[in-house]
Amino acid sequence: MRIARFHLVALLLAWPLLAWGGLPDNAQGTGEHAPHWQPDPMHEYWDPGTYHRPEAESVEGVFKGEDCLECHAEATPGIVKDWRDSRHARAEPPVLCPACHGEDHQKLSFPTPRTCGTCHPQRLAQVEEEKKYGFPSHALAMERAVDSKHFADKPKAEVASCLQCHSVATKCDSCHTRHRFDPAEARRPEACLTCHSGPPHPDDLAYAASPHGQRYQKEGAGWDWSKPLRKGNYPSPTCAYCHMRNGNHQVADKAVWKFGIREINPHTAENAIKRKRWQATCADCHPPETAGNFFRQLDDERRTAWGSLQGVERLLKALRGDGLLRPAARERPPYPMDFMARLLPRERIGFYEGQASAFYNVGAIERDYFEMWYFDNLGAYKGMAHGAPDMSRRFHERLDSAARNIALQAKRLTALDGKSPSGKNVDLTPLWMEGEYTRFNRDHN
Amino acid sequence: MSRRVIGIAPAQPKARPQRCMPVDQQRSLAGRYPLWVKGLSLLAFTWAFLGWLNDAWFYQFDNSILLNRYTEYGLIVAFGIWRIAAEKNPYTRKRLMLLVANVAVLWWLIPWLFPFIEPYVGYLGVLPAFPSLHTPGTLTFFLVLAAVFLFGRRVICGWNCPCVGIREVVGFPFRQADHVPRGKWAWRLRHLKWLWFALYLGAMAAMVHPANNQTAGYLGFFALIVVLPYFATMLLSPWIGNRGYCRFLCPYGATFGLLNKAGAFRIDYAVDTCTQCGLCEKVCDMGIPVWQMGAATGKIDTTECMGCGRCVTECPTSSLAFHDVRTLLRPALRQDRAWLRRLADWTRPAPRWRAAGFALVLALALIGAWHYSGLIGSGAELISNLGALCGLPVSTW
Repeated sequence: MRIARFHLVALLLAWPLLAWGGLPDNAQGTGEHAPHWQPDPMHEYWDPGTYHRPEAESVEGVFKGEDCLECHAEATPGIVKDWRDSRHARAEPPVLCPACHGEDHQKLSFPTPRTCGTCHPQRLAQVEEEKKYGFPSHALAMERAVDSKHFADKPKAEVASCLQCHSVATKCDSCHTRHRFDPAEARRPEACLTCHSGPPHPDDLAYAASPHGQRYQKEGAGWDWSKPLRKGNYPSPTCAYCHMRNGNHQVADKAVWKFGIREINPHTAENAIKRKRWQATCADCHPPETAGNFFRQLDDERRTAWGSLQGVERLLKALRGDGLLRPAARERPPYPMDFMARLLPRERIGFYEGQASAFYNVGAIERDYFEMWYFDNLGAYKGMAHGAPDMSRRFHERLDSAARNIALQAKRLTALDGKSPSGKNVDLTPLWMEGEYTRFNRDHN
Repeated sequence: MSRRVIGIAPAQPKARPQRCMPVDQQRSLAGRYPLWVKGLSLLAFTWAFLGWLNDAWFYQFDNSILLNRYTEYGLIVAFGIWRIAAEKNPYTRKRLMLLVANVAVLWWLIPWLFPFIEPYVGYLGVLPAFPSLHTPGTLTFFLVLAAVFLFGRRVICGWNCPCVGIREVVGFPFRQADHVPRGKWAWRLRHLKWLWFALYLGAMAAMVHPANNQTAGYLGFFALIVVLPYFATMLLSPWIGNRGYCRFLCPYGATFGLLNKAGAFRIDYAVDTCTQCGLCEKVCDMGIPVWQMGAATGKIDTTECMGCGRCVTECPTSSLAFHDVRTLLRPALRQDRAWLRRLADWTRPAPRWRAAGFALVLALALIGAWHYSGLIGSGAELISNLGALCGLPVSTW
């Protein structure tokens, strides 16, 4: 009780200092668009290595080992209990709080992957190695998020969710939640589905619908999750079994289709090597011919999806050529510091011309195409790639209906050609020169 | 009618020219070719371009060998056999044999049948499959730089470059004088490639750090600015000669050229014996003013020379001789016309042993590549080991 009372008094006395803790008001963002965005207070939590500032108002003193537990068993019992259940507590000697947070209570830090890497260097090396494989990548996720134009451009409320998942690059507890840091937790698919769910990457749906996931749902509760993800240890694979084979913390080494976001040639020498790795992974349970046929089926699915996307893309480019995509690029404020967009304003269509624009205040037909290739297309890919062809089929139905819908809209736009349905010429510019995005953009750029 | 008056002489049994002329009488001046040969050559260029387009952009067919990135190498082998049979200069014939063999084995069969990834430093975003000697940071890249420093650009441009390969064996009709621009301005135009070289340096700088939007975008731009002119210059061969890309644009050639200049390679020129016939300038596909340069400086030490050896083996008075690291080690060695032609003389017994040795090395390389590519599939991850070697800590955990 004495401690709790001390806390209260200290807090009352130190309240003016609260402003000194956390991020300063003039904190700058990072990355390509650093001058154009300011971090939220929560950012010190998502990217502690960059933004964390020690809390000067907290308890004074230098604490070692068991000292921390004494107070925190009362102040934050959940944390202490988690830690007591962890392998850190059972290690000899135990890995105590100061090992990761430091000893001086006024200069405490949040651990980064580098902190974890002091004891788990091989794991850190595997994570770092992922950077060699390019996008998409866990290790490059944070940069990828803050470097995208719409991250700097959009109202804060709309990008608040980005870093929750993209912080996978800047801390390890995305998968091994603190303070238990349980490998068994990360072996289960739920660890991945925190982020790998929802429209652009419905891995949750795909896994649940696949025979692998069916088996897991039926029996998973009874499996011994303390066993490493190796051949023979589990009756059915989870996400990590295949994607982080033998516990390799390098998820990109077999990425052939790269999320299904872009069309690639699956037969380059590089992809042939990655295929071979997949085949070796599948061979833990399946004959190589089965894996080979599975890849062929996936290739066919991709070719079909991209055929339909390209058809629609051609349609939109024809509309762009005729100046029928409204609002046109020059009718919207450009992205921050986007020199080329100022110089040559251009409606961007599809992945190759910049996915970010599709989030933006574009016309309905462009937005529909964005949803088609980003949501429906990726859903179709994820289903087929994870052994859920029926899910893929359903998403292909959506692709087809989106294509039909866009074609209808295009027809209507061509027929109207700048006129209102009543036949009068109307100026729609004011419609998209007002509104939240536009105001926000004007204030910030 | 008049023809009948003159009458037709009975057909004389003409002596057919010997298929292989005596070693000392052969010439590698470009011949004049009929339109259909030129058309065939342009068709093959177009086919190679379509193969690349399909492989990188369109994916219209399921990686058929008839229309993918290996199509170009298949054409090199097909035309290469023709050119090797037709070539009159024995040294050039030998060079073409090795060039075509290298393209077939190193550039085509190995990446196609058992691809494997080379060790590399830096962040490429793609895995460099062997042989990635144009990709900065790979093992072959550094080995090639060292080899060029010692032996000159010829080790890669002359003997092991698919870009030169297709231009030599498919683009041969455009070697002739009406197609190859020579003269002051054509010679000056060589400096254009330093722009491409600067872009290449930019690509190297971009590879030092992990990919971000800008570096990934830049590398994509660089790939296009290299590959599109690469194929475009093939189709422009009738106007800029078969070597337009090598002479005016190639950033890799520029890199090797710098090492050419800095390293041991040059061509020595003997002013006393030179009769100023100018043959050396006529046979040079790279448009180097060989005689002028030799007369002015006493040697041909230029970033441009890719060591095909045509000028040396054609020089009627043996006034030209290669100079490389071998000359430094054995000062008595003079790599002139006679020496090079003797090397290429397959009737001599010694080179036969050399050929057997080469075949042995090649077989070992193939077996090694096959073995190594198998290891990669089963999880012996060279890259992760190398990542650990490159400063990332290793532990037994």
